Formats: sequence, C-alpha cells, structure tokens
Amino acid sequence: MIMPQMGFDMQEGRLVRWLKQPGDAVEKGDALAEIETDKATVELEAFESGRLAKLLVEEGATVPVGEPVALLEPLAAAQAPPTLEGREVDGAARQPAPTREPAPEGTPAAAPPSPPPPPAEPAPRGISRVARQMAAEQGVDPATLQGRGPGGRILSHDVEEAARQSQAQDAQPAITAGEYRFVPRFHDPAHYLGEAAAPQAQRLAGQTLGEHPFAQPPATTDPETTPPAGDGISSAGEAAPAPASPAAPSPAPAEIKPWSRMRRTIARRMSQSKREIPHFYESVQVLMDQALAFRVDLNRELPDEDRITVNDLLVRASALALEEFPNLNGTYTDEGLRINPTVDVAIAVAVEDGLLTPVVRDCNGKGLVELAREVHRVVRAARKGRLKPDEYAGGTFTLSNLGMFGVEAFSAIINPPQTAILAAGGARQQPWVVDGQIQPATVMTLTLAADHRVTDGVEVARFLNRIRELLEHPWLLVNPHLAR
Amino acid sequence: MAERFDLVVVGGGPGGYVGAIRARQLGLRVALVEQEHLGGVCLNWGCIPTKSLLHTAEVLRRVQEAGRYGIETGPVSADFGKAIDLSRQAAQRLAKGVSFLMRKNGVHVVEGRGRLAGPDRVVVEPSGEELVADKILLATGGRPRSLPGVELDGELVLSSRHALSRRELPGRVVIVGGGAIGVEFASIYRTYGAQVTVLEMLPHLLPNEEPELAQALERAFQRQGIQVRTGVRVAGLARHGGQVHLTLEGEAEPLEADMVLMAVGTQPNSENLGLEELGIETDRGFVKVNEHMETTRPGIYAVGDLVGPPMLAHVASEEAVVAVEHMAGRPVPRLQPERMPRATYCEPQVASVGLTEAQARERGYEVVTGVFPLQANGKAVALQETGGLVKVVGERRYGQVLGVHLVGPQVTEILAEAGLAVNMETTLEELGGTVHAHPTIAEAVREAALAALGRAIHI
Repeated sequence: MIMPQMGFDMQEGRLVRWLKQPGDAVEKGDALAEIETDKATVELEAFESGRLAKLLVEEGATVPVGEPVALLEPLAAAQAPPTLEGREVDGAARQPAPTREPAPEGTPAAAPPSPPPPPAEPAPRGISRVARQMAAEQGVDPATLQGRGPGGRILSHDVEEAARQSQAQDAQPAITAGEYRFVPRFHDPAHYLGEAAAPQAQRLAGQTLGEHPFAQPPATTDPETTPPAGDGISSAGEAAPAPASPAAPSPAPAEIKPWSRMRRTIARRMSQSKREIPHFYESVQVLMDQALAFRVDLNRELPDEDRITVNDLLVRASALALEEFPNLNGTYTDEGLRINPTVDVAIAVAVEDGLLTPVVRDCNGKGLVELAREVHRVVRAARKGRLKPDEYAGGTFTLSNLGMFGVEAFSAIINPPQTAILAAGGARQQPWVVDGQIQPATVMTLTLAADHRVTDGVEVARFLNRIRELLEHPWLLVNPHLAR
Repeated sequence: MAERFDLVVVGGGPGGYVGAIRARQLGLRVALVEQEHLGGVCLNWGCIPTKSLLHTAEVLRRVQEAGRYGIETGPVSADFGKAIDLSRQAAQRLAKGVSFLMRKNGVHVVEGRGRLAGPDRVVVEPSGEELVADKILLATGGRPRSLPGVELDGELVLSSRHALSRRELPGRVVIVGGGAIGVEFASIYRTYGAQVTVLEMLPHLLPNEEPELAQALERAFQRQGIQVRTGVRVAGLARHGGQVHLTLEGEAEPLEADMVLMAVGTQPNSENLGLEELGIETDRGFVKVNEHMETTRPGIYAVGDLVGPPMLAHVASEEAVVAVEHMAGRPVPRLQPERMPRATYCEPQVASVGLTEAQARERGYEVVTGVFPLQANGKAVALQETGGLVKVVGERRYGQVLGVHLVGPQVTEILAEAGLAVNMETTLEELGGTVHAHPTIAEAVREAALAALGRAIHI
C-alpha cells in the first residue's frame, strides 16, 4: 500500500492513525488508515483483499506520495483455480516482504529510501480521453466504473451506462441549474421590468430550497413569504421545540458530538489561515439593477439548464478583474509570490455539515455562458458528493456568496494558500441618494479579505472598484475591453 | 458411461477452438466436437487458402509488371494448379497447428457431428457417444449460400469452397456477389488471365464499406480488365453443355461463362443441432444471443457465423472468449461489432474499422472527416501504387475517432493501428499528434486525422 495521490498537487500526506493492525484480514475497499492531506482527511482503502502484513510508518508520520506505508499480502493463492493467473498470483505472494524500520519518532517527514514497489499494488486502469470528458460532464466518477474496453479500459459506453443507471436510481429528477438561481427576496427584477414572472420565480425558489441544506428554516430568510399554515394556526410555533427551562437542572452529562473529518479539516485550515495570514477587509456597495436586468435579458436567450445566475456573474466579474490584478490571483510562498498563469476560481458550496470549494479552472479561457455552465457543473458535483480530487484542489481565489440566504454583508477567511476571498451579500432594494434625490436601487455589498503580506489597501480598493465597474456595466462581462 | 465436462464446444473453427483454449486457461475441463477439420472454414476453406492464392497471384502480377520497372523477363507462364496446391498445403499446416494447440492445452477432441441432446448434454454422431457438460458452446459456423433455386454443383456453379479445390483455371468467370469473397476471387482469377465479370446487386462493390473505398476499388478493377456490373440482379441461370448462361433483370442478352462463382453470402449451420427441442430461439436461421453470447437457454452459448454478422473469424474468436469468460463468472469485455476490423485482400486491399461517415451521421454524431490520397504519400509514390486513400471519420464534440477506412497497398497491415485508435477511443488530436515513421503508407492515417482537423501537412 502506498501513499495515494489524492489531488494533482498533493505531494505528501500525514498518516493520522491506523484503523487496522498487522495480521488483520482486510477486504478490498476496507479503510486501513486515516490520511490527512492539506485539503481533507480521507481513508486509505485496501486495493485488494488480503492480510495486512506490516505497517511501515507510524501514526503522525508525513509520507511523500507514492511511498509505501504498509505491506498487504494478497489472499492465499491456494484459493485460486490452478490456472496461469493463479500461478502468477502465487508467485507474487511469495515475494519476500522488504524489511524496513518504521520511521523514527520525531522525524516524521524524513523520507526513507525507496524499497521495491509493494506487490499488492493494482495495475492502473486506463480511461479514454473521450470517456474522461464525458464522465466529467455527466458527473460520473471514473473511479467507480468497471471498464469493459480492451484490457479493462474505461470507454465512453461505460460512462454512458453508469450515467443511465444513476439516472434510473435517482427517483428524483436531476437537479438543474435552477437550484442556484438567484431569486431576490427584497426586490424582483420582474417587477420593474413589467414582467409577470414572479410567481414562477417563487415556485422555483420553493422547490429548490427544499433540496438545499440551508433550507431549514426558510422562514428566517423571509418571513413575509412564508405561506400561512393550512389550519390557520402558526405552524412555526407548534413545530418549534419547547425551549428548555434555564432553571431546570441537567443531571445527564452533556453529550459530545464528535467532529466529522470535514469539520476537523475546516477547523484546522481556517485556524491556520487566521493565525498565519494577516487579513484585512474592504467593502464596496454595487448597484445591481443593470446586472439583474442584463441577466433576465440574457436568460431569455438561454436554455433552462444554462440560465445565468447572479453567482455566475460574480465569478465572471472576479475572474476578469483578477486578470488585471495578478497579485490577488497569486500564491504566497516564503520565497516570493507565485504568479498563477490561469484564474481558477473556487466557489464555496454548502454541503451537509460543512462546505466544499469546487474549482472552475481557467475561467478567463471561457465565454460567459461556458463559464456559467462549468460553475453549475462543479457546484452540482459538490452537492452530490461527486467531486474528483482535482476538482476541489488548487483554486487561486475563492468566492463565497451568501446573498441567497438573506445575508447583507459578511467577511470571510482566506482559503490558503490563496491571497484573497470575496464575500458577497444579498442584492436588495433600498433608498439610494443620487444628485440629492432619493431613488430606489438594488444594492449588494461585496467584502474582500486579502493577505496583507501580498497586497495593500489601495490595490484591493482598485480591484473592488473594477469588479463594481464590471457589474454595473454588465455588457463588460461579455467583453471587458469594450470600453477600453 | 457419459463423460462429464465443464464445457463442451461444438465446432472447431476460430470460434470453437479459441473458446476451448480460453476455457482451459481458466481451469475448465473441456471437450470439443469437430466433424471435419479443426480450424473450420477460415483455416481450411476461407481466410487462409485464399490468402495463399492471393499471394501467389501477387507474385505473378509483379512478374507480369516487371517491364514497368525495366526488368525484362521473357514470356511468363503460371501454373494455377500449383497455386491451388500451395494453398492446400498452407491450410493443412495450420490445421495441424490447431491440433497441436488442442493437445498442448489439454482439450479433449472428439471427432464427429455434435448435436444437443438436452440442456446439459451433446450427442456425437455417428458414434452415439454422449458428453455431459455444465455449459455448452455452439460454434458450428456457416456455409456458402446460393441464389434461390440455383444448385451449387461444383462443376459449373461453384461455391468458394469448391473453387478452392479446383485446379483448372476457367476461361470466363462470372462472380455473383461483390462482397469480400467475390472481389478476392476476382483478383485471383484475373491475375491468372481469366476473363472476370463481377455482378453486384447494390450500387457498389463491398457495399458495407465507405463508398470512396468501393469507388477506388472499382476504378482499379476496371484498369485491370475486370468487368464490374453493379446494381444488377440475376434473373435466371441455365447450363448449356459446358457453359452457363446468366440472364440479368432487364437484359435480353445472357452473359456466358465457363464457371460461375456464387459469393452471395453465408448461411448459418443451425439445422439439426437440436435447437428447437430445447426451445432455443433463432432468427432467420441465426441463433439469438444476448451480450454475453448466451442463447435463450441459460448455460448454452453460441458464437461466430452461427449468430450472424459480422461473419468474420476474429469476431467469432472474440465472441467465444466473451462467452467463456462469462461462463467462468469473470467480467467480460463489451462486444462492439462496429469496432471489429474488416480486411479484404483484393488488389488493391481494402480495410476498415469503426463507423462509416453515413453510419456516424445516422447515429447523430456531428461528423468531421479527413481524406488523404496516397498520391501525396511518399512511400506509395516510391512503390508506384498511388491509387489508394485513407479516410478518417471523427466527431466534433470530443474529437473522437469513430472510423478509419483504407484502400491501397498492404493497408490490411496498417489496419491494426486504426483498430487501436478506434477501440481505445483515440481522438483526432491524439492520432494526428502521433509521429509516424517516414516513409510509410501509415503516414497517410496521421495525415487523414490532421485533415479532419483542417491541418494536413502534405496536401
């Protein structure tokens, strides 16, 4: 068993603890150990069934990718039929186990010399480029596929078959981009555009909120639109659990709910970020009326599944602005700032008990609609738990948008090793003073948290102003150089 | 008294014997029943002897054309009977090879005609011996068809099998059917000097191939003096003394021939196999199977010509491997008939794998194609054989290579590359990005892929 590569930029992993001991029988797929990468804590699974022969590293050790961590003895060849294959297995199993000292305590990161590759390592399976692309589009994880092409190669038919099966299993209709549709609560573009689309928009919002992990309780985001309960009695009052009396003694010891791995990872990374990165914050208010009208206009021309959301516009505006402010797209290292060749925007997505940050790569290599499509795809994959490691690792900037949850403004914690994170509040109508006159306007507050080691207040101000310019003149989102 | 096996295979052709070997590799006890020759039609009366004859004809053609290269040979004479003898020797040698493989792998070979006598037993005729088996693999193959009402007499009206043992060269040959068998015999007979006419009902020779390939072949045949009549139907056939008169629909004048070769297709050997008694379903004589080659009777499998097109030896072999691996409970590869390579050894050779342009469009692909003519290929020019071309069919969305179609010298050997490209789902970029050695005919494959991307170099 080797330290697996769980993201394309993963170089090493820390072995948190062993879940099996030498001599334990293991089934293919059993968790052998917990491994922590800089992105997540995951389980190391047995590549095949057999017996765990020897642990090669101690708990807490950091091991480079590809280095062996344990020896797994395949099932005894005696059980295999007397065939050519059987003899081969037999031969492999008899290979002497390379003897190694466990990594000495106190020097967990030291890479021991490379022994011969362990016998239990499976042959890598191939996948055609066509199948890989198709799998990405359909949200199918190639690792779950059984290739039925030559030599077990995964081909497009295998992906199609898996996609068909998963569709058949999902009794619910596939989640469409509608889920991420921004439905403003405090204003509706349809009102001032004279378009009677509001009922439909609300219906969609109701449908999709039901599937959303943050949907509970919807009333907190917008009490006005909460439908009255059918029997006329406040359902909220009934449903709410009776508050425990503060005076009541609690004889039972408080229950401790253990942290999930995701929460642990979030805790570690966020603490590290706040501890190590000198954050500073700047906010701007953006008038969103033009952008919202632009979006409604644009969506008239687009098929339902490609409908652009406010979130998409924010990704687009951020990406275009980052192109002009490469420092904010850079990666801090002790030697200097790494300038990243592409803008890869990570999007914070709420999932059960935590959040994920799927990444849209090379945002500026895509047109607006293409970008939106990719945003929808990765967000959907994140919600369905089908993100591949290279789809949540390695962003160069993060967008966190709580606008749809009724948040006015907030500030976020930088997602290391990135330099900045944009926090978007909701767009809501409010009085706005123009030339001494009060007018209604739809206003959104954007707050950027940035690393003061990399950048300073003026640069961030210019960056935020460029984002504002792009959003307030939304045709620039199609071509940012129109006005130049 | 009946002997028990894990698997009994009926038929020793490229389906049956390959299935038997694979089953032995998987540790099954296997018996194989063969009534005539191990190796089946392919090895005895098909692929192999025709390749021998075509090679002899190729040698003759080189000598005949030697003058073109400034090589004077004097009068050339060729003995067709000797060519037939050589082809028989090749077949016999390979049949012995299969026999050796059966012994080496421990397959129990039983001579006789196998017939289902129950869901788990095969009776061998005429001995009456019974073989009991957990699983049965039917691989009884096919045989040449004729036109309705026309008897294959072996004297004037021949099947390919008859033709392969006829040592006399006919003066005038009419070949009915312009498929692979028809055009291969046309090349053989024409090179030896016979007058050859090929009749095809459909608009082109090799009607399953890309029309560009067929057109290139038809042009070459015309240059060689082979009469090609496409879009014609035989209305009547009459024997007059030592001659045959063929009447074509809508034509008064009959075609006269000293020999007629019927090459109108293959029919399955599904009669008297005991299928009906076990309720095994057939469709126009072909045994119906699922994707694991299992018949409608669980435990009984069928492969090869017996189950229908593509009726090719290598398809039968692969189907047999799938069937046996399924019996053994192993994960089986997916059979994709259109991804099976197809090779025809006429002069010039025709080879293809994957979808034609029309098939790709039918399936809804957004099709791109690239054609590279061999006139622009250095090796073909050096060989003075520039009549061929390579056509690559791809699709736009992923750039997948869907089909490769070749006509030209020795293209059946280049087909392997095309087969790899299609079966691995290579993209046009990948195929076009692979450096090919210069000078080779195979360079044209890369160039055709680049042509589909709009950036062929040499055209």
